Amino acid sequence: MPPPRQQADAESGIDTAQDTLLVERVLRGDAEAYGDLVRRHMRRAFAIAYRILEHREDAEDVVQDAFLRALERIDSLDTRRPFHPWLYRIVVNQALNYRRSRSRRAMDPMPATVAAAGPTPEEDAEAAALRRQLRSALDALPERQRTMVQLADLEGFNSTEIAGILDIAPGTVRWHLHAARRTLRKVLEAARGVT
Amino acid sequence: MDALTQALRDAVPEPPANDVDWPALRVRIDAAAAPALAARATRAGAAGGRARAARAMRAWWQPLAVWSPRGIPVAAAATVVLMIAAGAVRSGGGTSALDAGGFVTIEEELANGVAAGARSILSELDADAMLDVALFYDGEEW
Repeated sequence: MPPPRQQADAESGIDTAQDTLLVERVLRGDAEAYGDLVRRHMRRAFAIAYRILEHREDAEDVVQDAFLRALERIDSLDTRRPFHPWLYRIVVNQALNYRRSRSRRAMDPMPATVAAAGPTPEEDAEAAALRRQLRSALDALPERQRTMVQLADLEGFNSTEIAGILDIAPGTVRWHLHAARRTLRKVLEAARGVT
Repeated sequence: MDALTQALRDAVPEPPANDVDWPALRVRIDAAAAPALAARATRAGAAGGRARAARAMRAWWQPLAVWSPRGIPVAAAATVVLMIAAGAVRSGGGTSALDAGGFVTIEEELANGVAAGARSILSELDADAMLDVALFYDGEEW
């Protein structure tokens, strides 16, 4: 039994009732309603895709594919449930498939604000080394745990929202997140102890 | 924000939202979705037509459906009445109650006998005599 539809998702701030009205219009082939849904969710969808792919053009392609896939499958959407976790699940799955299938491309250049973090060359080098180790540890996590960390620590979703996106139990999310963070925390502490 | 989350955010680049041409991306998505939306609109229109046709069908057969539980017994009763009436007409045309297996009263049998006697007398009369009987019969008993 799905939970009752909420007027607005308190945590995400998304007006789920408005989404539901738009979905009902899209079901009848209303292109304007579909455009509104795209406009409302494309930025968050892009951010999620980018977290997984770390490549802007790939993330844009994934967002486009995800919205088209959502349109193809929109008849299967339970309109008593909010639209955005369902859409983000498609985005995550598309991005993971994209990531698995592509040969790893060169990453986008690191933003200037991140690259220039550190007042002295020594601190800069230490921070860069720590970032590299943490990145390696993040990449070495099992795919499911890595995705959860990306959604939780980088995109700010809580465990309940991640459970909705990944269609798994919140307790499972909390368990995987705990395991992933324990691994990353060890790497962080080791790197700080060395540096 | 705890130290791990902060360290992760420092280690991983932020999504370059400012580098994305959002209107162009939206146009791309809308254009790619246009055929599917048009097909969906066509299907929805056809489904609407079928729904209207179904409503129109209901318009004429629904009263029948409502009345049929009462109509069937009424029709059955009318049939019985018609059959009884038809049987009465036939019995009035020459079939006696005795022929039908019923009881006949003495009065009925006498009336039938008198009528049969009258018919035998009348059958022996010619046309002019029949006319006299018809014109001048004043109700006297035979």
